[in-house]
Amino acid sequence: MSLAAAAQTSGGGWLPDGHAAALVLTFDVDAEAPILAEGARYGQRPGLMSHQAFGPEVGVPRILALLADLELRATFFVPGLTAERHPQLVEDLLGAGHEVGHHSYAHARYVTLSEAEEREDFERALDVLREQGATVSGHRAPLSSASMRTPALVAEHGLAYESTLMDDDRPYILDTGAGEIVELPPFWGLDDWLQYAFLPDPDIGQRISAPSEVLQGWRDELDAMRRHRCLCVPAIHPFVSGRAGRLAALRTLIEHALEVGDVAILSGAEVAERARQDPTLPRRALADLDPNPDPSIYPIP
Amino acid sequence: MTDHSTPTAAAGSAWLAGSAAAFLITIPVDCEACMLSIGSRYAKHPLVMSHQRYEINRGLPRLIELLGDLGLPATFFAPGWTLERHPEVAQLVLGAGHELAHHSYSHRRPVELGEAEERADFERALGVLERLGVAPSGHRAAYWSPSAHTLDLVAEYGLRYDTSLMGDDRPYLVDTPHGEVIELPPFWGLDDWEQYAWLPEPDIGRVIEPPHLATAVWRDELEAIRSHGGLLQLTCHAFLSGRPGRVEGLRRLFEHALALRDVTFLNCEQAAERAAADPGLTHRDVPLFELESGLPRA
Repeated sequence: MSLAAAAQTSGGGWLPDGHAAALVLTFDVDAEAPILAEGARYGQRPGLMSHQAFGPEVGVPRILALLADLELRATFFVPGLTAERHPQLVEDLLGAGHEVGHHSYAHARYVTLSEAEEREDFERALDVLREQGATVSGHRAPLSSASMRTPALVAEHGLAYESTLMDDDRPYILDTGAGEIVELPPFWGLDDWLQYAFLPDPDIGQRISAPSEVLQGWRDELDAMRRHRCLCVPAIHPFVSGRAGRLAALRTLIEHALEVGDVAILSGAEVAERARQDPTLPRRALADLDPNPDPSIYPIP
Repeated sequence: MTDHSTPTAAAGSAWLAGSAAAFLITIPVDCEACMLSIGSRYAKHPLVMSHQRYEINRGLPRLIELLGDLGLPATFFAPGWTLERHPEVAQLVLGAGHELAHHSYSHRRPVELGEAEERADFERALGVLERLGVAPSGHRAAYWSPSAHTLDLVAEYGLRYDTSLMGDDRPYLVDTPHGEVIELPPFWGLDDWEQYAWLPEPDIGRVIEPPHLATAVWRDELEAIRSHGGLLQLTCHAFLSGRPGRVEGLRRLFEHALALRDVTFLNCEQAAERAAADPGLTHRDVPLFELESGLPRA
């Protein structure tokens, strides 16, 4: 089917009529949090802390200028710790009309926390963002490393969606065991961290790719997603992609999405709302992800 | 075998029947099994499980659709555990007329199992395939980690070929106590895992290449292997290569191979059948290296 034909057959579901794909620009404003999560000692290393503070201090203003220039709304997932450390951040994001989402308090991998620790972190983050004026409807687990309990916390606290699990490239309805939420699946291939992030210590990545190669890869992905009618959810970190050459590549990618004319650029909350009302989307239960392996077949814990 | 041979085709290439190279598309369908074999704790790790389930929800159907679009054959290697947990795998693969082959039961590395344990796992996988009406022609060891006994098991249970050893880039014969096995050698450089696999845990890889760079690696190998009369056995895991950009990258690669006109696409069973009829294949033993005592140790 040609792209034009695909666009014409698009129904009134999660994907707006006349569009071949949807693009949600998500920015994970991690700043210092993921490094401190590797060890509080890193907080005493000014080189590291400067590398991370570049995100909210330099990267975010540039990204806001880019989005204003192109008149686009985006979704920013902000750890509570980052919102406290950079008190102007959430206000600036909200003031520019963007969505602010939940990204934990301390950027710990929820799958490594106890139930009580996870709940405490989750609620603390929500309190910080709400005190700063955000209407939080979405959540992304740090490093996508949710626990089996995380989606239920998202539902219990009245959030509409999460963007964490990777078993699809279109929205779906997730039965958390404590109510239904919408899942907007991200994809490691559209995560700038894997392309650009490097530090000697802690080890956050081994290689720094050329923005031109990343741009071509992501543009090809977006074009392929138009062919396959997908939801494209790049995860962009301001401390990573706020650098000039990477931001230029990101601008070119977004301009490509605007030029082809059949990509709906929406916030996470907007796609989640459309998905919630689309009866044709798959419904999947979180509990069904666990295969309950037989220990005699899989003896390694 | 005279008029169609390319000038550069090596001796012992009758199996190519005049083509310059053979392109074998192989698709492992591991799903959760490859992660559970590393640690059963990943059953409670929603990211890891969802990352693997992508294969069932999107990746496998999309790769089968691509093969259908271009009319290409492929061989699918699925662990018995995966076939039991996800009946749609066999339905999709067999429904599209593709070859389904033996890929262990549990996707544990044979080299790390005891001899009895490996045999039990091997037999259990055969039982699953038998219940699906499949008599597999071939086998691929989980993680390409066969034990010293694996190829003998392949021969003992009457399978014709294996695709786990990397001693050549043309088919060859491996002599085992239970007879000959045709080896269709794979190669790490022609595997999507090294290009695309990354998770925070377990450590399954360090980089994610964009599809245009990954497919350039494979395309360069394809063009060069034509001068050596070899096989290009590409391995595409459905949970990795079933992503839209990667599928479209494969489409371009396959279209390029078709346009070369001297590359023949075969599934593994067809390649093994041709190799079996070729008297010129090289014989090799299972390559084991017995160090003599007294050798200085590093």
